[in-house]
Amino acid sequence: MSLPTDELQRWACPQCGSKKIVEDKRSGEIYCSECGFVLVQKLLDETKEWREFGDEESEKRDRVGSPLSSTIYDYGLSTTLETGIKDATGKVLSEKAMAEAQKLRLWQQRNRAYNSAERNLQVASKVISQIADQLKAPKATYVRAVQIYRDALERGLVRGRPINSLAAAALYAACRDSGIPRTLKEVANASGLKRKEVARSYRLLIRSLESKMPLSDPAIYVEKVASKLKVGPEVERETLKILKEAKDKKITAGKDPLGMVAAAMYLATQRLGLQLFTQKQIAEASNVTEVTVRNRYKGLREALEGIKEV
Amino acid sequence: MSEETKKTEEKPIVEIQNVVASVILDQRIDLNMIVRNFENVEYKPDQFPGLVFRLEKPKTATLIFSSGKMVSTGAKSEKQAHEAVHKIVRELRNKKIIGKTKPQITVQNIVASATLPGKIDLEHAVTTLERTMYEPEQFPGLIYRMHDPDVVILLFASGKLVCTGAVNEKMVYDAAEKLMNELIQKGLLIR
Repeated sequence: MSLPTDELQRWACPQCGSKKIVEDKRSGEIYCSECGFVLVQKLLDETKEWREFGDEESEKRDRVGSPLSSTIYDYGLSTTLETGIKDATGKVLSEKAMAEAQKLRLWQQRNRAYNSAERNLQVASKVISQIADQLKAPKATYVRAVQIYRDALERGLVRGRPINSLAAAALYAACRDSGIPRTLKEVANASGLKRKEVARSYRLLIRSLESKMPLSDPAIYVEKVASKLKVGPEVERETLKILKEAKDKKITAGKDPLGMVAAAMYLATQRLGLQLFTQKQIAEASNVTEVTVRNRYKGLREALEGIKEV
Repeated sequence: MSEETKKTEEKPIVEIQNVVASVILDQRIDLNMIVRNFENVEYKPDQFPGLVFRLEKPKTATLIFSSGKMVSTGAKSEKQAHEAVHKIVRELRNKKIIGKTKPQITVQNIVASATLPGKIDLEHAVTTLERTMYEPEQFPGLIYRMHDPDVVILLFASGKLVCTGAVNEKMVYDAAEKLMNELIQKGLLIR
């Protein structure tokens, strides 16, 4: 049993449904970090067996190439013919044989699927990694984004569209898919594109790949905004509680999740009798306008506390 | 049974907002002649090759191209769109700008707004309806691509909706009714 580690992200625990599956190389197991259910035992370790000091030593002990990675076009499974003057038995090759080998190498290289799709993925992969770096998104999200981009590429969605915008859209989709709190605005800024452009490509991706994204839940943004404003866990907890109440009362429908978070957090501090930030500050921290904060706040108070402000 | 009667009692209130129709006249038109003969037109060939012909009654704007094709927008019904086109054709003929023709009119798109009796549970609608998209970060409405009739509906939490892509009035009413029944059936309409 050996698979690219980035595959793990697609797994869900059969016991509790959690998507937090981890691989423990030392025990050779893949298990659910929520409930501890073991999915795979006796896993093959793909890493090197020996400790090594220096390049030479590592080369000597190396028997395999790098592990599979879906961020490379052929998953890193390419073959090349060795360049050298000796054959397998150690005999020096004749001139004729060397010329033959050179010809074979050339054919082998041409035969490899080094086509426009491969080059395209190479470029996209680089772009995605740059954006992911800027957004400090985890490696797994980057890998997922490349997977999404690859799907799009295979369906011919990239043709006629800028690589950049699709790459950014793929990264945003990956963030959404894995619950990483990055807004479309942030992805657009990091990629140097207009929000509209990324949004357009994102819609295209979702529509063509027929994938269902989990609803963008305000709750995942709470921690982010909270840490920006440096508020404590009690405010975070109260905010989450308010968001849950709001969701049950169905007043979150059609509202910007970040606006909801901002208003809920503001209400939370009020409920706790704290004054940690102004409406302006929270608006800035959550990247929405003050008017949005006030309107959502009004809506929350009306729905949750029955207070009507004139 | 009570569910049945409810369905027939309550109907979505539909209002058609815009009808876009294309017209083929099958003869070339001298747009400069129109400029000379009519007051209420707009023609800036360096900006846009079409001439804008505005009518007061029915209140529409029609783009006229020298190829003899026209696009009529702004009508509130299919009937109005036809009226507008015929009126323009008649006026052009009176001024001898065009000869006798029978315009081929095709409705290309109808935009309508509607109100459903109750609020809509968008968050559950995304998962229960097929071919939907709901991204509150980008747009507050839920985009629902209906198969039959082939229209796109923007659904809002308030129970209001916008329907586009229909090519005749019946499609709009069918779509609104079908959507409402679907929502009621799946418990997505909160009264």
